[in-house]
Order: sequence, then C-alpha cells, then structure tokens
Amino acid sequence: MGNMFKLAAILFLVGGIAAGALAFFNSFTKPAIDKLKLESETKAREYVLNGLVPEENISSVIYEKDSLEIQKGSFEFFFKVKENESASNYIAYIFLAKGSGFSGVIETMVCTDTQFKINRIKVLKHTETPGLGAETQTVKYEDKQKYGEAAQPFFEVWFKDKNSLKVVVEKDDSASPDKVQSLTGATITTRAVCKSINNYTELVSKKIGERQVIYIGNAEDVIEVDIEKLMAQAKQDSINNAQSQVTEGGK
Amino acid sequence: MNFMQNFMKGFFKENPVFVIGLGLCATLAVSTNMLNAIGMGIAAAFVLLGSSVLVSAVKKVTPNDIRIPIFVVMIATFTTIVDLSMKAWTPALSSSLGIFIPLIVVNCIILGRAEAYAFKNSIWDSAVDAVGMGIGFTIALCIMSAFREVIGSGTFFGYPLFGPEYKGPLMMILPPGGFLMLGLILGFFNWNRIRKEKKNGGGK
Amino acid sequence: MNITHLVMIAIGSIFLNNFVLSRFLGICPFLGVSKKLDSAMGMGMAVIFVMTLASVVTYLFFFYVLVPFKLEYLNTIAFILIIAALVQFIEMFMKKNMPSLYSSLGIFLPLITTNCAVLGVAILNIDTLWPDGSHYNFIESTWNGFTGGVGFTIALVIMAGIREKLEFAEIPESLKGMPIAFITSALIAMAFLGFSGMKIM
Repeated sequence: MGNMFKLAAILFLVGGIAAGALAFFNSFTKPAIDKLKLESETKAREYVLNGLVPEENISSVIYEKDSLEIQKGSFEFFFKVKENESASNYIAYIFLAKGSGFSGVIETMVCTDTQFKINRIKVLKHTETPGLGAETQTVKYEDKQKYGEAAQPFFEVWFKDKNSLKVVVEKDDSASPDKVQSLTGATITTRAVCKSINNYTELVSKKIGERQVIYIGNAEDVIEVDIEKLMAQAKQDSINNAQSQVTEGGK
Repeated sequence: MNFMQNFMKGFFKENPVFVIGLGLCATLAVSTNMLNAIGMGIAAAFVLLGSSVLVSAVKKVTPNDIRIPIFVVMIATFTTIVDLSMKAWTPALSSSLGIFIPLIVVNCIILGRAEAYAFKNSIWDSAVDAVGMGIGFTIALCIMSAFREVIGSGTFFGYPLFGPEYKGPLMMILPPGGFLMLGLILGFFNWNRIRKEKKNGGGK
Repeated sequence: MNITHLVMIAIGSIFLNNFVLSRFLGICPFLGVSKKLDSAMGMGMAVIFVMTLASVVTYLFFFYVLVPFKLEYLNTIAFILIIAALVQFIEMFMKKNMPSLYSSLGIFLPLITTNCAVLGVAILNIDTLWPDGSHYNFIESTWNGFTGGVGFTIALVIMAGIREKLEFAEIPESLKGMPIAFITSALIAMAFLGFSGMKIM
C-alpha cells in the first residue's frame, strides 16, 4: 500500500512539473493566439467590405452590432457599417449567413450595401467534400498569377452585385437576373449558400425596417402582424374607396 | 550499431509505418497533400526527439512500475508544446491538420520507441534513433501524400500539374483512397521482399 | 433535452463520420483484432465502454476544473491520464470478473489507452460546436462517446466477418495479410461514403 502511495506521488510530481512547464510555455503563445483570433474576425469583415470603403479609411470604419432573432428566443448578430465616427448614414450591412450544406453547416460572411446588393461574400466555415463543395474556397491558379495576394476564390466572384434577397442557383431559376451558376457536382452546396443568404437578408431587412412582430395566441399559433404593411394597406384601401366614390359621384 | 546504421534504419529497413506498422491513424488521415505531410512529419519528429531524449535522460530514476504513465505525461507535454506553437505561429497548418496534432500523443511510434529503445539506450543513441524514425515517418507520409495529391487533385505542393481543369479520381483524397494507397504500398513492399527472397533462395 | 441533436449525433458518429472509416481514429485495433469475429465483438464492447466512460469523465474535468481555472491547454495531458487510469481499472475489473474475455483480448486491452478513437472522441466532445456556437452539453457528449464506440464496433465486426471469409480466398502472395486488409477497408469506407448527404438538419 505504501508502495502504491509512493508511485502515485511520483506520478503526481511528474504531472506537476509538466503542468508548470506548460504554463510557462503557454504564457508565450497565448497572446499570439488571442491576437490571431481577433485579427481574423476583423480581417473577415474588412475583406467583405473591400471596395465599398477606400483602402486608407478601412481601419476607421465603425461596426454597429445589432441582434437578429433567428428563432423565437434564439439570437445572433449582424453589423451595420458606418464609414467613420462622424458619418450619419450606414453604408453597408455585414452578416454571417448559416445554412446546412451537403455534409454540415456552411457559414458565409456577406457584405451588402443598404439596398441589399452583394459586395462580397466569404465562405468561412464548412465541412463539404474536397473537390466538390469545398471548391467554394479555391482560388484558380490563373487568378493567383494575375492578381497575386488579392485573388479571390472564383465562387465568391459569382455573387458580386447580385441582390442578396433574391440570389438563386441558375438551375432553380434561369430567368432571374440574380442567378449564379452552380459549382460542378455541388449544386446542393451552392443552393445552401444562396438560400442561407436569402434567409439572413430577410431577417436583416426585417430588423432594419423594424417591422413589428406581434404574437397572437399561444406559441403554436403565431401570427406575424406587420403594422406598417397593415397601415399601408389601409391607406391604399381608403384611397381606392375615395377614388371609386369620386368616379361614381361623377356619373 | 554505428551512427549511420542507427540513424538510417528508420528510413526504410525499419520504417515505423510500412514495416513496424505504427502511426497508421495519422498517416491515413494527414496524407492528403504534401504540405500536410511535411508539417505533420516535423511536428511528430519534434515530439519524438524531445520525449526520447527525456525518457533516456531520466531512465535511471524512473520507477519501472509506472514508467508507461510517466512516458505518456512527457509525450503529452511535448505534444501540447507543439500544439500551442502551431496554433500561435502556423495557424493555417494547425487548422489543416486539425485534431491529429493533439493525437500525436497517442501515435504509437512515439510511445513505441520510448518503450522499445529510449528506455534502454544512451541519450545520444536515443536522439539519433528518434530523428531517424521521425524522418522515416515523414518519408512514409510524403510517399502516401505524393500519390494521393497528384492522382486525386492533380497538384503537387499546391502547384497544379495537369492544368487547372484536372478532375481526377477524388476518391484518392477521401478516406477510401487513403486505405487503398496504403494497402497497395504495403503490397509493393511485400512483393519486393518476396522477390528478394526468391532471388536469394534460388542463388543457393 | 434536444432529441434532434441526439439523433444527429447518432447518425453522424455511426454512418456519416464513422470513427474508423471516415475519421481514421482507431485503426491499430481495427486491423489488429479484426481477424476473428468473437474477439472483434469483445474488443468492440470494451471500446464502447471506455469511450462512453472517458467522455463522461473528460467532459466533467474539462468544463468544471480546467475551464474555471483557465487551464484549457492542459487538456491533452489530463485527458490521456484519465483514459490511462480508466483502462487500468477496467483491466483489473475484467481480470477478476471476466477472465476468459480478458485473456482473449490479450495485449489489445491496455492498448485501448493509445486508441486514437478514445482520446479523439474526448477532444471532439469539447471542440465541436453547434451552428449557433454552443458546445455539446453533458448528455450530448456522453451520447457521442457511446455512438462513436458503436460505429467503431460496427466497422470492426464487418471487417472481421470479411476477413474470416478471406482466409479461404485465393489472394496474390504479396497482398496477403495487411495489404488485403487495407484494400478491404477501402471498399467498406467507400460504401460508407454513400451515407454522406443525408439531410440531418
């Protein structure tokens, strides 16, 4: 029994020395790792913002965080972008669209202007098949030769200037002006990215428009009432009524 | 065994992957392209060298009964050092290799060499053996990756070999391709060995 | 308790991302023990048990000891020691209470400690995030460990069944043994690839 204690104590000691050595080492790497994390978040936002703001001013851009209600009680965030501290209008919206692709969730960072015209997208996370769905990340060799560091994955370029509320896969709607071709052999991946962008744009536009959502009845029986739409409809109805009265009165 | 023999035995004659059959998990998972292979090889070699040297250095004071857990703690420490270093200074490679960096700690090669060699030999011999085995592991990874990357994605170190429109058998960079490639390479080694034995046997 | 999450984990760990055939975790015992069907079953059961228990203990240790003290970087050391201790206890238990199974598993029982699948699932449990950014909770982690082990066992049993039959097949000399085992695994892995694309959300 005494022997067991001695062995356990030695193991404990070795473990303690190891933990101490690692704590020491960790103090070197932790600042670097944290810095990388922060940089990558800002980098992603600056990447999708590229073009809407001149290069020199990109670091003075203000990102206003606002919440998006994805489902009842479940919230995510999006950013309203101002050119700088003193600007009064927003110039862009940045949001992280999520949707399920072929083999998992695809996260796409999207930057649109205030009319929901896509500036740039960036597929941040996915678990799609290499060679098929993972081609969303591929930069074509010729592009790398031509543009060097600034070369964009060819998939992302397809989305530029499309309406984010309406962007759709060519196969699904070949007449739409906002269609994108699908990745070879990865229609599901392309469709997932498009649909997630549509969905999240809808949520952002709702939040921006600040339409009022009223829940009537219990949770299973939710009716969304758009106050503005109701008022606009009522206004239109009364105009129509007035016009028909005028026409009839004129007879 | 002299220095050169000790150093080079890990390359082919006692290659940890193809001959001894250790470290298969990492080999299959990581060998989808050359960059991953080299990165993993260097990371594993570092852990192997560090732990072999340390095990050999303290072999006189290590109680025999709990030597395996102590080896494991040492290996885990070096693995964590490599993991943190890669996260801080080579983040792209770190996320590419993913879970297989912390899994270096259960890479049978490292524990195997610690138990079979480092515990019974001098520090210098253990160090040479470790580096040799590390290089052997890297060689195995590179051979696998070369085939899988060239055939599967048509690139070599990311440089496209057959033009940008190459659409090869994707299977090679997916899991089945890994198993298949390893099976064929092992089959080749066997065939080579049998051929040599026949030649030697026939020469009598 | 989110049943959808649990179903997703089960289908994921057994079919879509099978620990052996897709994630390459647990290859050494997969090839070492799969020659006979009964030892394969025994090994599979042992692995399920260790993976589930390891998931429980490592999860609790990580979220209730390491995280509050900001010691996340010690997880590799802590996890491997916990797993080694667990396997040691299971070995002692089996030696006393199930001696036949203990002797048939031989060297492979202590080898479960270095089984990538056990440490792998422990790390996956704390690393994987749901789409909304949340970690696996305790039940989901334990379930992941259990279903991962089940997936491993299914792959192992399929392999053992095929290898038993292969004993009587005419295989070229150079492919006998390991090479044909790997080529067989390639075919099984290919079959499992067919599961991908299942809509699980």
